[in-house]
Amino acid sequence: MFMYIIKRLFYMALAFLLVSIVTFGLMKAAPGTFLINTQMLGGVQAATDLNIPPQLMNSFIKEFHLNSPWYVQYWFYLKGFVTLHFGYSIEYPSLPTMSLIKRTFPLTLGLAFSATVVGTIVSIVLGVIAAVKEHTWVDSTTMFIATLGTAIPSYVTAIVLMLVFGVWWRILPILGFQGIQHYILPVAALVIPVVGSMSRYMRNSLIESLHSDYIVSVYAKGGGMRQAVFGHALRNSLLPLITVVGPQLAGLLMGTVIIENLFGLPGMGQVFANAAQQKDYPLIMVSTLLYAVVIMVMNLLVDLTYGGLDPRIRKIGYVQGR
Amino acid sequence: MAKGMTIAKSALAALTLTGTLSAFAVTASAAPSSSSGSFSMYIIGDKRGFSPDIYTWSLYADSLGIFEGLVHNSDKGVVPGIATSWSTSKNGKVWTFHLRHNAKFSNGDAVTAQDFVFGFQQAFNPNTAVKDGGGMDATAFLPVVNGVEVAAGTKSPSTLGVKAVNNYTFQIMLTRKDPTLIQDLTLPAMGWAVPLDPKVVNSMSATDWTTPSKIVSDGPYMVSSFTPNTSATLVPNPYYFNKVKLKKITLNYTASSTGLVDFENGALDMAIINPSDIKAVDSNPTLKSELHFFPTAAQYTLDVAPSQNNALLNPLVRKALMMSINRDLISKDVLQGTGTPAYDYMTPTWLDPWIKKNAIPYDPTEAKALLAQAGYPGGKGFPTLSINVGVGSTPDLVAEAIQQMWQQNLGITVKYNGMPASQFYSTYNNPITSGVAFRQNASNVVYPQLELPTSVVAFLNTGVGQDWTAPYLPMNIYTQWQKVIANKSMPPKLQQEQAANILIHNLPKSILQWIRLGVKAYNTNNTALMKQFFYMQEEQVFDLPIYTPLQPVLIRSNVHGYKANSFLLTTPPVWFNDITVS
Repeated sequence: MFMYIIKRLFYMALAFLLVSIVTFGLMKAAPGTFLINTQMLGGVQAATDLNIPPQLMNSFIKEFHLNSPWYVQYWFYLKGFVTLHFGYSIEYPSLPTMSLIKRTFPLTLGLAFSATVVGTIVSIVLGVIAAVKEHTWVDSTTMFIATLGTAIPSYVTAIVLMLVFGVWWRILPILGFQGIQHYILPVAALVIPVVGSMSRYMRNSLIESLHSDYIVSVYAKGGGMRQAVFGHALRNSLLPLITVVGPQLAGLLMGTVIIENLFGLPGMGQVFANAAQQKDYPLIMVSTLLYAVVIMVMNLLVDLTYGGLDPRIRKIGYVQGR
Repeated sequence: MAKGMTIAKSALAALTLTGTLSAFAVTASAAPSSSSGSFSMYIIGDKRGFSPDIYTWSLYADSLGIFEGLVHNSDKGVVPGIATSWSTSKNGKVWTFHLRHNAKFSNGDAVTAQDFVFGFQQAFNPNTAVKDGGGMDATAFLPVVNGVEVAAGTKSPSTLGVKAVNNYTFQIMLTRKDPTLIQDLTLPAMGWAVPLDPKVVNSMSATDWTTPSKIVSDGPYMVSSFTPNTSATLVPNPYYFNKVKLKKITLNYTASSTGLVDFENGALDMAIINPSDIKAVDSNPTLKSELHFFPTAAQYTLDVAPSQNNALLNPLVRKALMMSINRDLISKDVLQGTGTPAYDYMTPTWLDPWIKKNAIPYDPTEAKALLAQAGYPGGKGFPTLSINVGVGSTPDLVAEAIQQMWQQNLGITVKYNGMPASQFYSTYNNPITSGVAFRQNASNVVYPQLELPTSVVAFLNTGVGQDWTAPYLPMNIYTQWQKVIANKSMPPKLQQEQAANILIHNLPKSILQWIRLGVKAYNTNNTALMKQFFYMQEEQVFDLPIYTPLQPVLIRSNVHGYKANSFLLTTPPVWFNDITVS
């Protein structure tokens, strides 16, 4: 297992380097400048020259190595991230980037984790119902709704939720973050598309288990459906589901960018989107790499958990270094 | 534009409305007997905090009642602020302001003339911008003695022409007579400076401007919470000399795309909605009664782009193109009522209604005749014309409509060339290699007197002046001019002289005559000459003004005293403390 982890960490380091190079390259290749602030407002494209005085421009050039060769700039960003010396960014010159992350990232992570947990639980429940009632109207209806959830993007779901719960019924807030109730609709908007795909995984996996020989043995020994599902099949059926939780979390983390903007949540997703829009080079690098690291770590944890739950992986995969 | 105009192309930003814009007032109910109620609104915001001396979106919130200067706007026009009265010297160059004795900062310290001296020095000092990490507050609109030199860093802030005669008498020394000084003092990011408590500000770091407990201001409201890019909360300044009307104001920065649902949910009492939401609002009688259309300081305009082909340098061609654009149709149909025709880049009709007098009419027949006269009968032989625009997630419908109008009315080939805003701005000055082109521009309108050129050289070194004039150079000269302005190693003064010289010696005479007319109007403070300057621009069609955006804004019916500040793009109220909620 130790070798397995070492190997995975090595791949992660490679992926991290690749992400950093691609991000840096795209960021520098994209047209535009941080010297002009643009924003679309009520159908009007607003843009202002930030009127940066030469003295401040010189300090930016010095601080962010803007006149240095590309590899010097790249190394500056990479070293800063790896050593956790994030410094300041162009858009937030008066706020250390580390403070900005501490202030915003917990909200984003909380949003993604909550959506993952809620999404997984709901998916298991729906998947079990659909599998147990295989080929009945219950199965068809559940899966139709699940497919609908997958097909509709989270920003559309968000608007519908805002309309129903925020405008028509007025029972939930839809703007800002002043307490846990401000989490409900954003989490729901993220969860619905996730449930669509994960509940199908759960259903198919459980149906496969329920059709296995060992379940026939359960029935042969006088066991009922309840015992077959909850006593034997469910545990085995959860394993494939766990493999998709990692990628789902990654998707949810990126999904928060739109959701945070729609609900006016002060999270990292909004910072990330603004950094890209305003060509804030230091912040683009830090936020992208941070997202990359979190996603890679989550995938690693999921894989390790998978190994922990499945003795076959533990005994074969680790021994062979796979 | 003149006087050191620093907001470049497409600057749609700032300014506060003064004068008599009662047409944009929503209601005018009596104030409640005690401070009560809360008000939640959308306003554009950013992350640099509330320093009143750097150029940020938050500066607008500062100017609406977090800080208070000598005078401020209100629903009644310009009214005394910290100054209770003022007078000018015989030559009009020295202004003396008498300050109220009971004005206090939010920490309880008295507001004195020395605080104004310090505040003005901070605003003009480029080191303030360096320290606070933002662009300079463009106070160069004010012709204060040594203002230009202090802003350029060549003179010490202590040489600035401001003086505390005693604790409550403040003087401003000007380089020239300025009859519009009082209204100019209300323009944030243009001519605005506020008193600052030196004891507090000298010990502040840049971070402190984002920390509400560290911000000390003298307006009716003070900042009690701030989340960058998300929201801020304002509460009454306990030491304010007058009654503060609301208990809480919430500024939301993130509701531009969901304004309608945020308004219906009750999260916002004032929201900007998307033009596409207007039909939905119109179908609801309550919402419809709460919808207002406020004009803005922006003017959607098409500028000539530099090109090898000189077809657009012919005034007949430009006039033909202008005549074949139906601005009324664009405003009513394409923009669904969220625009009104514009007739000049710098003078919107809501501020300068006289500009409409010489408007070039929509006349496709005459347009065809003019194009034929220019050598392109039926559009034959005319090069492919591109319309370059910066767009967001949706295409520029106005540019697309103009494309169709030109093709149908003139028989020429027109290409719509929408590109991401960042790409558009970064390639804005690049010469067109094939055909000819117009590029979308949008002004940042201020009072017309402030738009006049102060001198030919100064005008030709402003962003706006360069955008307008440089494309009229022959291409080899344009390239030469571009090299000069891109030369970072050249001393700024020499660079400006060389760049201006190239333009002066190579621009068409009509453009130089026009600039000189503007300089004359500026030097003589002559209103008739000023109007002539703008009329001439309109007649010569140096650019193609299309429309002034009307911002669709929902304001809750129980909100009173909201007069929109049309100099600001998000049209917030002119003064927070005019607002009451019943």
